[in-house]
Amino acid sequence: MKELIHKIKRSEFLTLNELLRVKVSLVMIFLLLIGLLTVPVSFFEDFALTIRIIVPSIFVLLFSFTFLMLILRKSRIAMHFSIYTFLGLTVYYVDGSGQLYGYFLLFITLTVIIFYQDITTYILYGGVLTAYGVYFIQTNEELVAGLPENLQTVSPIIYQFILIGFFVVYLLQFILTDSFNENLNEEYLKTSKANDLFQTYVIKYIGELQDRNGVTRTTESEAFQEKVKKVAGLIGENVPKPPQDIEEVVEYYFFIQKEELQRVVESENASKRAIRYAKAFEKYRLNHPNDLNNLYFATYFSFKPNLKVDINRYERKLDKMFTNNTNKILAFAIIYLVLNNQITRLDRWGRVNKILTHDEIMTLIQSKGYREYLSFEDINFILQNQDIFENYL
Amino acid sequence: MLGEIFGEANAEINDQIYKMESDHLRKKTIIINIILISFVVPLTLVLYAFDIDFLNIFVYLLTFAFIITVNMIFYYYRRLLTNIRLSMYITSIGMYIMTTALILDVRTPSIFTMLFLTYATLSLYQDYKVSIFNSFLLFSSGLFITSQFPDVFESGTALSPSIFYIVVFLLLFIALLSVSSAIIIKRKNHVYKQVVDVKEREFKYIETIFELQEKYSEKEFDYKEYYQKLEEFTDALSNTIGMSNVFAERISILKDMTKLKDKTLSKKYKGYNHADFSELKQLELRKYKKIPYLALESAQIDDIQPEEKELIFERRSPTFNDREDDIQVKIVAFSVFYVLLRTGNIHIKPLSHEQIFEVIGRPEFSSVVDSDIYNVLIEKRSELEKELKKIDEGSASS
Repeated sequence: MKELIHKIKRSEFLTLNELLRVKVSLVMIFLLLIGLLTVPVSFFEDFALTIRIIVPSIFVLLFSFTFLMLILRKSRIAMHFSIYTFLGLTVYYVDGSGQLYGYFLLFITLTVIIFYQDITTYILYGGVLTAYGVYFIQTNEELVAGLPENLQTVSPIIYQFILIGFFVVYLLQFILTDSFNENLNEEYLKTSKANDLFQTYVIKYIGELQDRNGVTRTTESEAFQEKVKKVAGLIGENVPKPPQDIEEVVEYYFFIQKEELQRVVESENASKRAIRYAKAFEKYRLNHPNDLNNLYFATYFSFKPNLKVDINRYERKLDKMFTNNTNKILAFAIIYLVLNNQITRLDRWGRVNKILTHDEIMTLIQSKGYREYLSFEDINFILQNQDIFENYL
Repeated sequence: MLGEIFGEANAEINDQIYKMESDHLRKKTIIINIILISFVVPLTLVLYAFDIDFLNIFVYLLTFAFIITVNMIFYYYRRLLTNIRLSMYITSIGMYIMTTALILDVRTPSIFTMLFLTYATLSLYQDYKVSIFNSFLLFSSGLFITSQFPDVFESGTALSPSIFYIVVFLLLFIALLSVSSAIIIKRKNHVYKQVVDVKEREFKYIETIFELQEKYSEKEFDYKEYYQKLEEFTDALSNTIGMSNVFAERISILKDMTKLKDKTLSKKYKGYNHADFSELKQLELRKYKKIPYLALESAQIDDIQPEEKELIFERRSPTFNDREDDIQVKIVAFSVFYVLLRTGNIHIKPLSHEQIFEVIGRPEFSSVVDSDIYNVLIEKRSELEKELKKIDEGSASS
């Protein structure tokens, strides 16, 4: 239970599958609670003895199966069976007793389905359950039998309206959450990819500057290697089971900096351990965009001041950044100036040394991706006045 | 996750997350308004069917109009009314008052579940504070009605439910949906943090590229020349279009923006307000550099389109703690990271021990390195620091 609460508290770090497992576990606790609260009630209802035995048995069976699936890490199957158990309980009470409990259970079961946050599951099971609830209210006279005659028509409509309303509002929530996640997810992926590219640019620039200034590259620096040996040795001595071969591993790490992974893997002389370490070190190679450099730059950047602009900080579309055309035209001109005067891309030899020409800029702004920055009207304006752009910027 | 470790408790970053969230919540207020408007006709019909006084019906409609107007005001006057949560609290209280009054006016078991619909509608906000408030209001309203007006549940048949069961159902309903909301909100906030973090890192990568470019080309970024070219360009453009040069004064503001403070600028250019200056800051080339950064990013646009649909939550985080790696690999990887930070390079300044250990000391860093290594770093910090300083001095002297 403690672990479950801990996982809920840190649910933002769980993968979808891990989260589903947590959710099923939680639903099972609720299921047990509802089962304990409602199943004994059936003994006091006017049911046949067989039903009194069959219903709790099926409940126990379904519950046990869900639990088994959870243990076997089949979270998705467990999710479906936990829903079936709730659906079974609901239909049993709605049909069996005709009381308001059954109607409330409809909401509880819908809540369980909502809890899983899976739009297909919600539409399928939630839709069927809502339709069943509407049908039940329409055909069950007991629910409104004691009410005055004029309310006997209105009351079922209220029941139905609220049930359908509840279903629709949560459906809307699903759609909004999905679209929200999709937009931000895309933005995240795009920017991450840009960062990988920019990391390559930074690494390449630093390498070229080191070469130009006669500074030994980190991969070849003996002083750097010695330092790493000492730091690794120091940490190695202090871990509970100190490894004996840490110096060798450091030397191997620097050795494979000059080798392609493929060559090491295909080498006949390489031991299994050497191949395994070569593969493991792939994500920590110097001068490559990887885990090592992601963590290195993230640490370094955390001590660098942030960009000062405070409005539209993450906005790309010029239409949304500026309220008038005068400012927007100035923005077009600055973009053109930078693209036409600064290095912005890799050249044909893979160096960060490419300044775009006028024609290349015109092709770029007409590309599909550039719609994220400029509208059709903006592009037309630039194309119509491209001579002025070319001659003055 | 990098965002958790390096997107530190920085006021500016938190401010950006708050802005993103506020924009999102503002859109939600419009959706809530649409739902409220769709409730008006059915509600009026129900009230009419139950022979409720016209005056009472009018009060209900007035409350609807009030909530909708408040939401609209908060949506449109965002610069004036910055705290969008206020509108959400007003909406929550208004809706629960209206629902409770409706239940007490109509007094049939069926209308009681209107509380669930109200809860569902307000849960659309997906905001932590409002979600707690929503659960509290649902439970208090439900408890108030069941304890003070149990006759609401009298259907006139022997099948009227027990109050105990209604309260238990209510509790289960709230518990499940509260946990569900908490998970959604936590994950939503996590997504915000990740996006803000990755965006902020992008700015810093671009800034570093601009700095490196100056060193590489041995030429400083000549913003004065850029402004001059802008003046010539806008002159030519104005002549071609056949209008007066409306750009000149703005370029002059941009030039002054580089060296003058905001107050001095406001005094000098009286025709411009705070919002105008904020907008112009995006165009400034030396101090703010938003558009030059955007230009560099835009040049890569065709190379950064995501090829596969990958979810943030499924994305592997950079780590020195891959569970498949031996401890030797983990130690070497962390040691290289540490030495890289301590030595720096031709462009990047080395970080001090204190700075590095400040990052290591952040609780979230524990997930980046193996627990045995992390314990060594934390528990034997002072001994390690002494030894590491010796290593630094040793290599400096060599």
